[in-house]
Amino acid sequence: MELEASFNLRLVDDCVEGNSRAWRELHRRYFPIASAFLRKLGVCDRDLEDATQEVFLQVHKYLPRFRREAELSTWLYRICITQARQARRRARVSQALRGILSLVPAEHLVSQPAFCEDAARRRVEHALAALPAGERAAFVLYEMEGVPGKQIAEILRCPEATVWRRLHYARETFRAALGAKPESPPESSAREQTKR
Amino acid sequence: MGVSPTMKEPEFPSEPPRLAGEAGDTARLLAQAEREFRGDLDESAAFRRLERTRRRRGSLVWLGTSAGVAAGLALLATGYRVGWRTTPIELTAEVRRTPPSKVIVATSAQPSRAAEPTSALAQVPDPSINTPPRVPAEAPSAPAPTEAKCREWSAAGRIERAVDCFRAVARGAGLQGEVALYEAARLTFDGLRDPNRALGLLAEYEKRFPGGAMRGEAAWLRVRAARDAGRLDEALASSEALLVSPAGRALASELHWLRGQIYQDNRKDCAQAASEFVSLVGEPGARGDEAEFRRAGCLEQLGRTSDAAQAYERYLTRSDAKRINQAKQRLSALRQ
Repeated sequence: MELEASFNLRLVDDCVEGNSRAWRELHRRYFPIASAFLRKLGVCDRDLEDATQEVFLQVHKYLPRFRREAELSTWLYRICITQARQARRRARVSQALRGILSLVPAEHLVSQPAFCEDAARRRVEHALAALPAGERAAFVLYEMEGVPGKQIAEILRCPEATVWRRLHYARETFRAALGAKPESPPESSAREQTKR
Repeated sequence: MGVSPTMKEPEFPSEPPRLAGEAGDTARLLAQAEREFRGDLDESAAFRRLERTRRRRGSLVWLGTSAGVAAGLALLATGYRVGWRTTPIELTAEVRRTPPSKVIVATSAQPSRAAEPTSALAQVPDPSINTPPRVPAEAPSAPAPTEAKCREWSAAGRIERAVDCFRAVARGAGLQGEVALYEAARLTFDGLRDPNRALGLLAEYEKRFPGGAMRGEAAWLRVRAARDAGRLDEALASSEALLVSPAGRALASELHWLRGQIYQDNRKDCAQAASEFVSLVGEPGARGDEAEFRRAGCLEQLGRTSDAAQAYERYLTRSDAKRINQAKQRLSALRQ
């Protein structure tokens, strides 16, 4: 991990100096991570290309200001979360407009892939869609991206205890949405009496 | 809505075991979904599109600001000419009254405010022509190039100038000269795409700074430049030497990947290629993905059927596998 971190910092330095190969390498390394993460945060396929592009435009623009206090991946995840929020907002607006104007939704104009090819992804997306945004981000980062709790707290800019609380409820909701048996709630207070 | 003061805040377990690590349907579902989340995206096409957008946005910003800058400069120039024209007119009148040989002597006694334009006007052959004096483009004694200036050239995209600048700085001794020479070689390779010229600079570096602070970086650059210049024996030899050095340990993945590509693509030596790619088995990311797939292909070409099948099976367990369909096809072909 230390080698990876030091290689990333060298890559950042080279990018800031205008090294086009370093920029290409950075994109090659992080594009799959960013695009998959955006999908898991609910960015639909139609908006994914634009959202991912916007992430890297932001990375390129603000890379000279990147402070090495946090890891590069932490910073990237934060940018992705912001872009996902904006993409979801745009999608809601355009969906509302389509409803008002009675336009045919884009999904109906494109043939859908065979069910078996992405069935798992659709089930997981459906379960993730049941989570509020904050819980979803914590769940995706921990369960799917494998990010440690302390780093999640840095990404989401919240205390670590909040991360564990969100994760606990997210796992309950996720399992319930998948049809699995939910985890037993904590012994003390009921969920409604604690502030999310 | 708030928590009752008599009730204890629930404690939630920190770092619980991840769902993906459990036995059961949820873990299998998450693993399968992870492959699907990462599939079917063309990174190269996305990068080309990104660069086009960056250039387009940069042009729009440039067009927007250049208009403003041009207007500002025009205003500045107009105001400067209006304010400056009075002084030469007064001085040309003075010059007309005085013989040319005495101009300099006379003006040397003038207050400093008039001295500067007068000395400039002394160069004008015909004082009746009200033209501004030629100001040299650069000061007679240009300052010595600095590393900061070289980096400015580089950041501005003037790579050739940056290389020349670094080479000038590299004439000096010590760490500054060493770093500048390395930077000249690196920019020549990365920016100017001239591996042969970069190798020449690296040869100079190795001669002048055999135990230098940048020797690790220089060695890695030499490996890549030799590969790109088609000097494959040199690339393999220098990469082998680098692998066993302390600097090379941090670059082991990159070195094995490069060596594997040379053996497979250039030398058509699948046995050696597979032995290089094996070091990248399990490495996340595009390089690890490609290396695992290539290794399986090499084993298949070598006729090592069961090893190849195992390698393809191992490949299919990758969460970021990009060539799932190809791997499945090869696996089913091997099992027939």
